[in-house]
Amino acid sequence: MDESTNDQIRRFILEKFPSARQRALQDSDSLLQNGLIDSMGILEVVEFLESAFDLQFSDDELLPENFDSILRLTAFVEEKRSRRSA
Amino acid sequence: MDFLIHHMLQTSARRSPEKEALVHGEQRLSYSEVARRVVGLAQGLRSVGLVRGERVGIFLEASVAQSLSIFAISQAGGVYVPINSLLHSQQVLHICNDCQMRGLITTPAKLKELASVLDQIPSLEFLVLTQAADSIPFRGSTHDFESFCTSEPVLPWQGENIEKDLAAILYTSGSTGKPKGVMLSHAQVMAGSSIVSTYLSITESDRILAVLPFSFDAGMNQLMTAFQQGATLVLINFVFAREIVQMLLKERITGLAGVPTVWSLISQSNSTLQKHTFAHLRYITNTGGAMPQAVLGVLRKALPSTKIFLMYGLTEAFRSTYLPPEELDRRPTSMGKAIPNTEILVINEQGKLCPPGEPGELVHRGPTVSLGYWGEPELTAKVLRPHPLLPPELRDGEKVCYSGDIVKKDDDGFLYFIGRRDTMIKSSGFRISPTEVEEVLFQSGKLRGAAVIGVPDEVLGQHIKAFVVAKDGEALENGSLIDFCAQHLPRHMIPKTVEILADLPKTTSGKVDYPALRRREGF
Repeated sequence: MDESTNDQIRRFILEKFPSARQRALQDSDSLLQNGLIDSMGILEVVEFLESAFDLQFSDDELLPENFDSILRLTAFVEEKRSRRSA
Repeated sequence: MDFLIHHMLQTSARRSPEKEALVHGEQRLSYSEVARRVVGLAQGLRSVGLVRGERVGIFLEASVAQSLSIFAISQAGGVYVPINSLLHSQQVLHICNDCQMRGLITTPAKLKELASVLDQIPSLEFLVLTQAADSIPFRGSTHDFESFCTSEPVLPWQGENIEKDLAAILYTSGSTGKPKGVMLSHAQVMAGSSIVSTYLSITESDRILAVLPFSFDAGMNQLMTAFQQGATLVLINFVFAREIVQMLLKERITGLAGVPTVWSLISQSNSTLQKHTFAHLRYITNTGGAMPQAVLGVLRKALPSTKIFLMYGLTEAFRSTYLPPEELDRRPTSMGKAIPNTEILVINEQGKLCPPGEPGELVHRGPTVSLGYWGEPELTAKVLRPHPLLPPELRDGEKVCYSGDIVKKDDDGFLYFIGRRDTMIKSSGFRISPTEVEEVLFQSGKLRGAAVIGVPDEVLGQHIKAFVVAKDGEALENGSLIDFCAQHLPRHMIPKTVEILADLPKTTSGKVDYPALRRREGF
């Protein structure tokens, strides 16, 4: 079975941002508070989401509210995908 | 006469009390409001026992509280120590103990990060918290920032400080060891502010956006120039570069200082820079490393009416050179010439002035040369030395700053950066000591050798590469070493790649041969 969107995103975040692993990050925890992911890191997240889920983000979707937690990222990606398949 | 940092605020508040001084999100404070809160806070710091010359740390993200704290500590006669909010507890612990910090201003959330180290700072006697917190693991006294700020001013006290007194300690890294505290007097900070205001023509009609941390000299200078000139300073916490772009538009920003990483982010297509025009943006400045030429090209195209100033400075001498915008076409790779009231010498190994074209060390002479490193007289004596060219009768009169940067001059006197004399790494505007990263790698207990170098990087300037040699019998995994670093180091100090070697290249004297490692990487 395919890895769920949520699992893929979590795996990427934990792999790429070791301090997330160290803090035992929960899916609902903020990624942007406390400098867990900074402005450089966010570029890597965008790049990953676009290639892993074959998505193209428009400028006005790049908002802190879409990127603030693993849960929000998952919801954002799934919404994008469902809109595409609709 | 203004001769202390907080005098600049008081003068601006007297001249234009209603003028907008500080903006952060929904918060907007006039100069009179800022000045009143600063007096209250200064009074509060005095009331809890702060004595002239004692150090107070500011461990806060960009915020109104952070700006107020700087001026209040100055007004209370103390020395402010801005601590980068990205640092981990071990680095904060080092700073607090190194400068024997007496008080710390922070938030409950940041205090929680420090919970495990608080009792290891014997000098620390009081905390000032920006919000209420329960169960504070601290033996000393704890006070409320807001109550201090709003307390009624009693009689104004006359401070004893003069401009020669220590105003600030900024922690920065060199090529070895832990971060060192660069000491700046009131006169030096104010000279830096006056000089930069002069060549950027900053006036009270400017609206400056502060994106660089105040723990960094160029970042702090945004606050100083703004308050000295009675301009407006806008603060921002950003993750997406487009948030900076939006703020430029929303707040009609006229001036923005950045480091190469900021400009690289802003010139990415998704930052939306290219979709707008910025009629208000009078100038931008770059410091903390060379701006990549491709990025410069994007900025010049997107900001046709904005003047671009390429600057160079090191914390030990605050600010040193800038390239006037009208020279950008002719010498886009130059770091320019000396800032006003400053002399830049290029000195060779023999201590003589280099003719045009000959590489030598950049030596800075002027009113912004710092007082040296806190508690490190030997290191200070290596960097701050007598003027090499003055007649011996005069030599003891002043110290000049040996930057460790190798540069050359062209025939017209414009300077070009060539490289470092030592192994110091510069990544996204931060100075990083290889030994500090190597030490953490060794703490993993798996290594018998570790060497760290900076590898050229389009966006970061340099990124960190580590070469490691396993102890006998240890199975090494690059990933787990990077993990280990992430537990102990802030993000900008974590190696991007780790390469496992059978042995490190050594010089004939048995030291790690860093140039050989750099050659291995093809540069």
